[in-house]
Amino acid sequence: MKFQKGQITFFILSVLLGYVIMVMLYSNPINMNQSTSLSTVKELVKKENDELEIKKDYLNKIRSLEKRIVFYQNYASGTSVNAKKIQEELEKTKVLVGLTDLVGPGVEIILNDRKKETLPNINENNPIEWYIVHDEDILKVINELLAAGAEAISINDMRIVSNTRIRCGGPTINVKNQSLAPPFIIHAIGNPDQLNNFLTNPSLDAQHQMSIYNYLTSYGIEFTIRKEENVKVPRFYGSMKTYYAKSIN
Amino acid sequence: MRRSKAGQIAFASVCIILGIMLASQFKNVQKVGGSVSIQRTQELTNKVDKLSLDNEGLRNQIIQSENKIRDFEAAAQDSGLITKSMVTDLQEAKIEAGLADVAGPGVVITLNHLYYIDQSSSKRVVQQVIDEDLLKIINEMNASGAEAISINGERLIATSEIRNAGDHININTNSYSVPFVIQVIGKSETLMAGLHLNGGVLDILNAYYDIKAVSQENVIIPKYKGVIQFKYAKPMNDNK
Repeated sequence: MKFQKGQITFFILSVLLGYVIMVMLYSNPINMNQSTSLSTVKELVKKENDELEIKKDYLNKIRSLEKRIVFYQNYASGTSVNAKKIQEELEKTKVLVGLTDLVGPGVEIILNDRKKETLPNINENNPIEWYIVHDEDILKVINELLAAGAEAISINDMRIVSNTRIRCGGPTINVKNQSLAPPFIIHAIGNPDQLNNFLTNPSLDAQHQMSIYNYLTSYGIEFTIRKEENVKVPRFYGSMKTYYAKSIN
Repeated sequence: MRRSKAGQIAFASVCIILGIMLASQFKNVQKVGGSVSIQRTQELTNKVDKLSLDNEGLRNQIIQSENKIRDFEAAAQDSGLITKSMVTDLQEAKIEAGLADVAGPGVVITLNHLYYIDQSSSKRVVQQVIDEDLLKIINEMNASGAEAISINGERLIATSEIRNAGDHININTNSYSVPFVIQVIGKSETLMAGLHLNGGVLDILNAYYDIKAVSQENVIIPKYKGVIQFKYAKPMNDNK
């Protein structure tokens, strides 16, 4: 039996048509999910903005309340030498703990996942995980900054304090209780040259043959370091109360 | 070549249907954007949850401050009362700053070398302790609500580093090597649970080190030994 050329083309087109119909049928469930989540996303964005607004209000309120408390403390300090000493020590300790906004020379660092356009072919041997910023990367960057003598550090305006945790939670990273998404903007106050050197120069021991900067940029992670004269690091907001640790001095 | 008219019509209609389907399919794919939107929804939900948790904490802080002010006012600016409250604040701040010895329940983690016997039957260390692994343990402890941590007696504060330096690890600029004893104060059950998470730090590090964690009723953590002094950071003028 002989087929005409037209018949063969017709056959191929029909098979293609069948295939496309199947693909469409299978993609339909996603499509429906999508249309529901679109309104959910809008709703969530609104909620997020509301919460951010509330947060701003609360922070302002806390600032003004704390001012009033200091006003009373100043009053007490005026009445006794002892109280004055205590207040001075309290103010000094507040600075050390991270309860005051600080400013000084330092660096601004921006860390971001590798740009989508520059991503190589992603497969089993070349997973996407290699090209995104991880909690461990941030831990290492912070640690290098501390080793370089950083006095105050913040990530996306969240002050790093002694019990700050940096944890990976999917595509976002949790710092203390807040979840942060890339890009990660890190501000550190200290000697700008030294901060920069610790990030970019490999140290001498065997385990760190590569600087954290070289390591991350070798994967195409966006990593910029800018030395600045006036870096602002905001204070920590939140409770410092301990429930288990008791002073024994 | 000649084709029948019916054949041409059928061919044309199949082409048109195929074209429409392909076009609509492309449109769908663009709109769906794969599973990204679902991921985005989850991300946003997490963010909103964290924010409202955050705000709850701030609300508590506001209530505490308001109560304090009320007490101050009720005491008709009794300087004794205000001083007393400053002493309490100072104690809390000193614990957080690492300027006070502290005691409380918690866990003690010891980390030592793991050995293996090689072909020439000599004892070899599986792996030297690296700073990253200590950082991971500390991070896990902070995530589990640690209130105070020390490694080999070095209190960890906001500016503490844990960094390889030759054969040693520098902590607060002092050198240490194995065994590493990490003391943590906090709720022991939560701290232990954090360490023993499936695929968590202990699971991973057990292959490289001899690592043990025990809960203790009274962990004593010394204060920071160095002097904390800021050379570069200055308080910002509060103009708001």
